[in-house]
Parts: sequence; C-alpha cells; structure tokens
Amino acid sequence: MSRVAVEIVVVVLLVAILLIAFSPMGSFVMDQVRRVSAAWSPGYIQVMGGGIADRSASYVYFVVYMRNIGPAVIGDPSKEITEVILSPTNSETEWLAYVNGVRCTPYCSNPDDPNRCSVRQHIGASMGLNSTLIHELETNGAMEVYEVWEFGVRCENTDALVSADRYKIQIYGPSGARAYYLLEEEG
Amino acid sequence: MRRPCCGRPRPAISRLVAEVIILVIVIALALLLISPLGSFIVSSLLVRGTEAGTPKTNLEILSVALPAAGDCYECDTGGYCIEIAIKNEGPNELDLDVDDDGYLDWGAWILVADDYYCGEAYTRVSLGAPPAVEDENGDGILSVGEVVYIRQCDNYCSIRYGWGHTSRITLDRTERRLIKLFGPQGTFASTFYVPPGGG
Repeated sequence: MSRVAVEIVVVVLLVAILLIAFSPMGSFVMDQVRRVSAAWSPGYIQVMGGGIADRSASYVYFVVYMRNIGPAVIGDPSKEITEVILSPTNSETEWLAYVNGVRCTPYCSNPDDPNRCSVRQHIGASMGLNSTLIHELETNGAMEVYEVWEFGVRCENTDALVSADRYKIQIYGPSGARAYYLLEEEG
Repeated sequence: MRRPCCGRPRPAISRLVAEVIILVIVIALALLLISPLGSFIVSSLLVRGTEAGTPKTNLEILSVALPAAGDCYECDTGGYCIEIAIKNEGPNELDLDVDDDGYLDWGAWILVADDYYCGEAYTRVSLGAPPAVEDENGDGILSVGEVVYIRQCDNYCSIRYGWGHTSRITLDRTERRLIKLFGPQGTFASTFYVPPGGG
C-alpha cells in the first residue's frame, strides 16, 4: 500500500470519527450517556391501573397502582413518607402528579401520622390463622423493588377535570422516576 | 556540498506500523458496530434498567374462575376466591420463588379488575392438588409452556385514596370484568372474566 493510500485511509477514518462525534447520531449517543450518568431513574415504575376514588366540589381524588420493578430503590428509605410529600407542615414534595395538565399532589393530612397519607405502600403479607392473608404496609419515603404503591393524589376540581372523560396522568418522583397512565371513564 | 546536519533525524513510524494501526482501528470499529459487545454497549446506553422494564417473557391467561368458598382451598373467604390459570408462552422461564421461601415472591403477581386494585397474590408454591399455586414440576420455575394457577383469596377490589374515599367492587359470577394480571419481571397478561351464561 502506498503512502498516499495510507494517508487517504487515515483521513477517511478521521472524518468518520468527527461525523460520529458532531452529527445528530453523535449527539444522540452523548445524550444517552448523559442520561445514564446524570438523572436516570434507579427503578422502573410499572403502572398497573388507576381510577377515581371520589369527587367533591373542591377535589377529585385519583389513585394509581404502581410498582417498582427494579433494578434499585427509588427514594430515600431513611425518610418518612410525611417528609417526602406535602402535609400541613411540609411544603416540599419529591412526588408530583399532573392530570390533564392540572398539578395534583399526594398528601398527608396529619404530619405526625404517616398512616394518614394518600400513599399506601404494600410491602408484604403473612399467613394468619386459617390461612387468612394479612397485608403489611409501611410508611417510609422510598419505593423498594417490587413494592406496590396505591398512589393517591388530589386535584383541584377545575374545568380540565370536570368535563373530561379521559385523564392523562403523569407522575414524577425522585431521581428522575416517572410514570404515565391514561385513565378512561366508562360512559 | 552536503547540507549541514540539523540534529538527529525526526522519528517516524514505518508504513508497515501505520498500516497495522489502521487495520486494528478498522477491525475495532467493525466489531463495535456488529458484534454482541457493540449491541450490549448500545442497549446499555439506550435504557439502563431495560432488563427490568422489558417483560422477560409472554404470559397468557387461560382461564379465570371464581370458585365458591368451599372450593377455595387455603383461603378463608366468605364469598368467592379468584383462580387464574396462566401459561408461559416463552421465550424465557420465570422464577416464581426467587428467595426460595416456599411462597410466591411478594409483589410479583398483582391483580387488577376493571381498573380496581385487587391486591397481590401471596400463596404457596407447591405441587399437587389442591395447592394454592401449582406448578407442573413443583420446582418453583415456570418453564416455557408450563401452566401455573394463581389464587387470590379475596374477591373484592378497590380504588382507595389513603385512609378514605374508597370505591369498591366485588367480583362475583354476575358481571363481566376486564382482568389484568401483572407478573414478575414486567410480565403482563389480560383477559375478560365472562360469567356463566355470558353475563
């Protein structure tokens, strides 16, 4: 192979590498790298269903059933649920939801009682007498792998919800965790 | 007349070495693009946790039955229990009892009916009739083509907002219901429960 041929090959390789680095494909690859290294959810949330538990003149109460199917825990297990969602004394929330664009919040009515929150965390069960299934709930601020949440949010009863029969529910949690569900009410 | 010497000659790689380097780069690029290593890297870049997010295998619900209380072995229920037969259509097997405690893995099987949450199946993994869950081989592994019977001891399902605002349905033999079953490792299957007589 002549020197000219070698130089041509080198130039072609350099151009190819530059194209990969600066072309849309390159930026796509870099985007993915950034997503992996920065804010990628530690766990994948699977939404299993949902519905409207109740309506009042002021609020609509939505519930979405979801579970973390891994690979890691979402949120901080050392915190209580009352620390990561809104309550009368806590104005910061790690979990947010939007229903048809309306901002909705999970809520604890009593900041001293984690059992009075709109999120129910199923962590296990045991067999009681006569094989009765006893469900166990927990109240920490994390969603462990395979933990099931009945995730309740209340939304102000605005026009976007009053007249709708389809509800686009978007849920955002800590570390980039997110979940979506389209709820359709039967006519 | 000879030109005065300007020091030691500039070091350079030989043409052979340059060609070898180019060859190595080309082979490396080709391997990266077409080899399993390349696809592994690309898939890792695309979605970390895909293994958890993508269903591992395909499930099919073969039947949904509501046996009466007397036939709900291992269930203490006043009404009906719910029994669902599920077949693993492949391509992979499913481990029903990863921690080998003799029970289905917690949170691995969730039942939803008409968008009401019916709860988690947590029953014994065993062989022979009438177990709560039976597995043809009794090995805790749902092989491709194998059928497992998941039994839910309750027959009521709810939409429950925390401590209040609850809406509830009861599965009985009178109404048609959309059944959604979520299994381990992102698996899912759905069907309709059709009551005797068509509903």
